[in-house]
Amino acid sequence: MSLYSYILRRSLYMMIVVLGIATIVFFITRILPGDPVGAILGPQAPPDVVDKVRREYGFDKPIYVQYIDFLINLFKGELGKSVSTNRPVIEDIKERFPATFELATASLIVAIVIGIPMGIISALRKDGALDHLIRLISLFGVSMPVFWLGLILLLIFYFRLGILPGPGRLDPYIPSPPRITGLVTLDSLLTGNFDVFKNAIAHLILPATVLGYFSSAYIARVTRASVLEVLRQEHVKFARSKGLSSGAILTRHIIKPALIPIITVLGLVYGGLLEGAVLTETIFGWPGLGSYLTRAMIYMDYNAIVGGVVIIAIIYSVINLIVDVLYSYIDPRIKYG
Amino acid sequence: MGDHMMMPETLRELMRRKLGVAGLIIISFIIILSLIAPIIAPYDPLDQRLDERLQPPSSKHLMGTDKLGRDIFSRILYGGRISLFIAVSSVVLATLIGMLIGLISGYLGGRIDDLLMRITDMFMAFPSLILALAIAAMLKPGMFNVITAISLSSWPQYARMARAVTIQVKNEPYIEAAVSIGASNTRILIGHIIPMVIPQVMIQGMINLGGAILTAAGLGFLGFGVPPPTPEWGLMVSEGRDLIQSHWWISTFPGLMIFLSVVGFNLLGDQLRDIFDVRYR
Repeated sequence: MSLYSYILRRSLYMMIVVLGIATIVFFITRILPGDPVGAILGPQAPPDVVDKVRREYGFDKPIYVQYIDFLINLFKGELGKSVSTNRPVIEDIKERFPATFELATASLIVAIVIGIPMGIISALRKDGALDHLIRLISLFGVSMPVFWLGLILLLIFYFRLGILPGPGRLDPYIPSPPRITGLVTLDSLLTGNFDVFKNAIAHLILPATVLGYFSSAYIARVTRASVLEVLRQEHVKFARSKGLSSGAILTRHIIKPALIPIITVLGLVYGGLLEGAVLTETIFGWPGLGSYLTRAMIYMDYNAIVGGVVIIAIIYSVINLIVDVLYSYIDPRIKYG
Repeated sequence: MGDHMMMPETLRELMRRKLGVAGLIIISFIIILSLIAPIIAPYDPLDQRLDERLQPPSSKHLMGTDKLGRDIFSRILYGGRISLFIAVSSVVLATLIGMLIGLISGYLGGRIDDLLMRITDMFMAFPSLILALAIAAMLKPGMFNVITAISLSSWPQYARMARAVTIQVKNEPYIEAAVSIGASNTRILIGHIIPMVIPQVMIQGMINLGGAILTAAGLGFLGFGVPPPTPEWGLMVSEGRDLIQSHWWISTFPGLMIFLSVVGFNLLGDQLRDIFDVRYR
């Protein structure tokens, strides 16, 4: 099968999966006993006002009609209007997505920078003290409630030591750079605001560490297994007998082939980052998709919940597709199928 | 420690098991503490003493008091019951749902299998915490709704596992023999397949207990879990969130307990994974 037909087939399947998730969440919001209008207006709102708002958002229609409306909108690229922000959900998401993308990318970098060396060292010192120590460190990473770790790090580095900034993407007195990509780090660089850039990076350190540490454990585990697998193979023994220095063997013959399988788990890790973003963004006042979704859930903002979920499902699926294509590109032995 | 290459195999095995033993000790410790909470807790976990609010840790209040003057140590002891109960029940419920779907899917095969596996794929193609949040947000806050939310978002991996085992066992010669002598479907399922599925799914469930505690705590922290004034650990962390700068103990101790119990379950889970080599995602 050619690469293009593979991508096409996977994209079609992806659309079905996304549609399925959208349907599941749509019915979860509509069938379970939540009332967005009541949640927004409060219990004291006069009934006629509640009815009017309900009609305005179409919540008075039968569920199947709402579902058909929802599908038609979805194909037009619209996600309905948010009850709590009173704006189209897609606009809210466009505004907030870059913040999450920036945080998730920074966290992924942290996770890779911590996880891969830990995995390699762990494999080379298999069953040694260092291996046990590293496995313990990563076990702590997956066992730590991210919201709690975030609070504790804020307490230490912001409130007590004062060496890192507090919540938010920038200090309150620093103006946001003109919006080009929506990524504060990139926009500040593009416009030459280096002070803003430095501030943005400083604001990223704590949330990215919290999220990245959590994900690094998974990367370390896969790296360890992968390096151990390579160590068992003949070509390593051959390289040794050829008299190559151990440094050359390590980089050329062990680490390089061992890193290929790690690419496949990056998709999973990214999914974990999106998940962790919900809690981390809440702690760090990060104006991204995660905190948007949490807010939407508190107000039972149907359209915002379903919209946010659809977007996350799309991102998640696209990343997995990219990872699979990348993987078969790097390792030609993998067939599309 | 330096001579680890020469360490005999059994010793190395023991070294590995040590971590499992440590996990077991931590979990037993927490279970015992929450069981004997009524005996050892110095105060009623719901008792508000406004004259003793926001006290730092002292000999009178080991972990201090919260903004309503409740004793945090006592609340943590009682909170263990809630967290453990939610984690165990949601894993049990999820494994039951997963087993049911996996058995049907694997045993019947064909279109039903296709349909069920596509649905399973959809659930797996999505971060489960977000799904759990969506479900919990729509239900009214409460312990049983938290359990429902967690299990409805975590059954798919058990379904996949149960299906794989079912298909594997179904194709064994002795099942064919049983079919040929006229054994009924129910008899094959109950007598041969289910006994093979249960242990595998149970081990995977135990491995996931730590994750279930984290999810439950996350829901509690965001306000979608057990409603106040119940002493749930995640909720307790959120109650001290705004006071973290001036009154660090309110959030720190409950979070530490979440961490400790998840470490315990994960230590044990890692050993189980090593021993049984269960595939995980």
